[in-house]
Amino acid sequence: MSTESIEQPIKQKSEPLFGKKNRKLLSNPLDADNPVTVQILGICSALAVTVQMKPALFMAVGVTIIVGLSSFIISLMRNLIPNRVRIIVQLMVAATLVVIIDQLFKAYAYDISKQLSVYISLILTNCILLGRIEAFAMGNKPWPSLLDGIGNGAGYGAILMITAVFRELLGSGSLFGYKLLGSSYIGNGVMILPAGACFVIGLVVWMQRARNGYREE
Amino acid sequence: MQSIISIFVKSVFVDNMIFAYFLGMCTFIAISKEVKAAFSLGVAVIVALTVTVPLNWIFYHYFLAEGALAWTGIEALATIDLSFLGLLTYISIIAAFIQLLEMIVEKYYPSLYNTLGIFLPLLAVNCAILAGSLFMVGRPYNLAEATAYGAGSGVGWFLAITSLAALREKIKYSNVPAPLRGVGITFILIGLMAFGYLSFIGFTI
Amino acid sequence: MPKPTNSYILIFMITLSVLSAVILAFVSESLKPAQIANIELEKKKSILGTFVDVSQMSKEEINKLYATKVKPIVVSYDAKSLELKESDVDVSEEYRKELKERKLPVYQIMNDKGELEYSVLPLYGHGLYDDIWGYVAINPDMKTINGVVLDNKGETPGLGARMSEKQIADRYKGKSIRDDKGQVVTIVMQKGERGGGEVSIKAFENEPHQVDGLSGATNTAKGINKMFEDYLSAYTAYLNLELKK
Repeated sequence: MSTESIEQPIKQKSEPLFGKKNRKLLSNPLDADNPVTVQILGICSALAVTVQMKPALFMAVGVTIIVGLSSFIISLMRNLIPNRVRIIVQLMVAATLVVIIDQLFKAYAYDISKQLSVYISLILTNCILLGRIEAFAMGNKPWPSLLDGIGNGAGYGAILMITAVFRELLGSGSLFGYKLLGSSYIGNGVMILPAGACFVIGLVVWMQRARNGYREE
Repeated sequence: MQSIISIFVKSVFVDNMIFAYFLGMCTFIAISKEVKAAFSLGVAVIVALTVTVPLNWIFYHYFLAEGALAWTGIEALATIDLSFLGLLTYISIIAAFIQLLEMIVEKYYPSLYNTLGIFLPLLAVNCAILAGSLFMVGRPYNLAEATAYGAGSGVGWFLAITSLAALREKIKYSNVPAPLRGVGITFILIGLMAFGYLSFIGFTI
Repeated sequence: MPKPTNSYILIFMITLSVLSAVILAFVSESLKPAQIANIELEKKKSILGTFVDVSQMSKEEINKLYATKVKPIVVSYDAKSLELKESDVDVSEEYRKELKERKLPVYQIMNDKGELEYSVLPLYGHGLYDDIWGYVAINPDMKTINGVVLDNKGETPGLGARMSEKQIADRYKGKSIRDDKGQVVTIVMQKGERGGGEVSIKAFENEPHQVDGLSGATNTAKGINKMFEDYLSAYTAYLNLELKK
């Protein structure tokens, strides 16, 4: 995560709330600057929770809320945080939010929280979270930080959903639990295993790069 | 003793942090381009897991779990359940330990610091380290078993990253379709390696 | 900002820690009732699931049915009834104890006339990665299984985790836990899988103590078998005592 350098602070003076630059903050991470396939952050949970659409959706929502809010809060107090302890401060703010989301899921979406198990807690070490805080929220005002967090959360969520569509459809012949391929369809075991997610994400990266023309040597 | 060895072996091969749980993937992919760097990071992960898992075990069982404060002898404290502070405690302990490790290495082993130094801060945000503590809390280990589990998970992670780095060094010379080069083919490699590790499930220890 | 002093850092960290601890304490306290209710509901669902179809029932219906039908008791290894509330016994903790020292809850299901309809026994064990558990409903003949519910938290998705599916549980229906001489025996899940669904049930139609296996999940199946063996032997005295009644 620290391979990225701190991005240039965005000039705020004449910028309306949903001006061009701010909209870019939301839309860029969806494709050209996607946290999963381009920045290669937050892979762990993208592999682990994408067997079915439903938990993937909850995970995506949870991550978006947490990344957005913690970017916002850190950005609010960015001038108060002593530099020497900033990582611990970031972690503590993020951890508090993660625990709150975890407790909310346990109280109101128990089945989902059982399926996601420790992966909700592990949002804390999801590199997207600390990556965005460190690279963006520490140097920008609260509003753009919030948008940047939400944009990156959504970009992550998009990859999660694409992966989950393939894995649930091919692995169990259903989407969101509804059988689509009929009972005669025999699920593809590879798609159900976490290893199958590696292949799907590998192919998604391939497709995206073939389209965008991005090369890595 | 037997249970300690079996927990260790199991966490290296069967419960492998990378190939069974896919944890710590960000650094796993980012730092696996060269064997040398991968090796250093792997060693750092072994150290971090071996120390933080038992450390968090102590904190959980003597401070956080329900009834854990009974040793203080104060009756009012005996029934308190502080487990909701778990995540906050584990991550603070991990971050603090890694900071400490960095300072010690920098002061006393400057040559080691030169090779390992830049990786140390990465450990605090490595899912595998935090997951080690989270999984440990969910399982009925004692202190020795928790240490074995931490060390084993570290060794498993080390094996995984070193072998992937070796493969990636070789694949540089292969004719991979251009858009698939780099991260794309790495994902597919990891998937194939995970299938290899699946065969260890057959082990009975 | 100017270089912060040590005391500033210390005060900052302490304020932040206290603040987050207070927020978390508040959140955890206010959500606890809902969380406990969820766990309770899940347990009730599993217990009722061994003899009725609960998949379409609402929360209220489950709570109501549970309150009218289920009478929990706690017995010891030699079937002495213990003066304990069932809610004070944690099966996952008892599992770590020696077989003979465990406190054993039994969920007795009563019909309208107050007669024993089923005895639902809890099961607990360890699969490949993590703990597995379940409930088994025994008919009043103390011999045939009416139904089981199995669950897991960490088995491999698509392989071992299939143990929680209904079609696996259905394989246990009508199996016998007593041999020809009336001794309590366990139900053994076999290696390999004959086909799944009806095929699996048919393949073992004439084997009262065997069920079809889980392909690709040998170690989870071993865990399930150990769990059945463990708990059926723990409850042997209870089963024999009820048979005499």
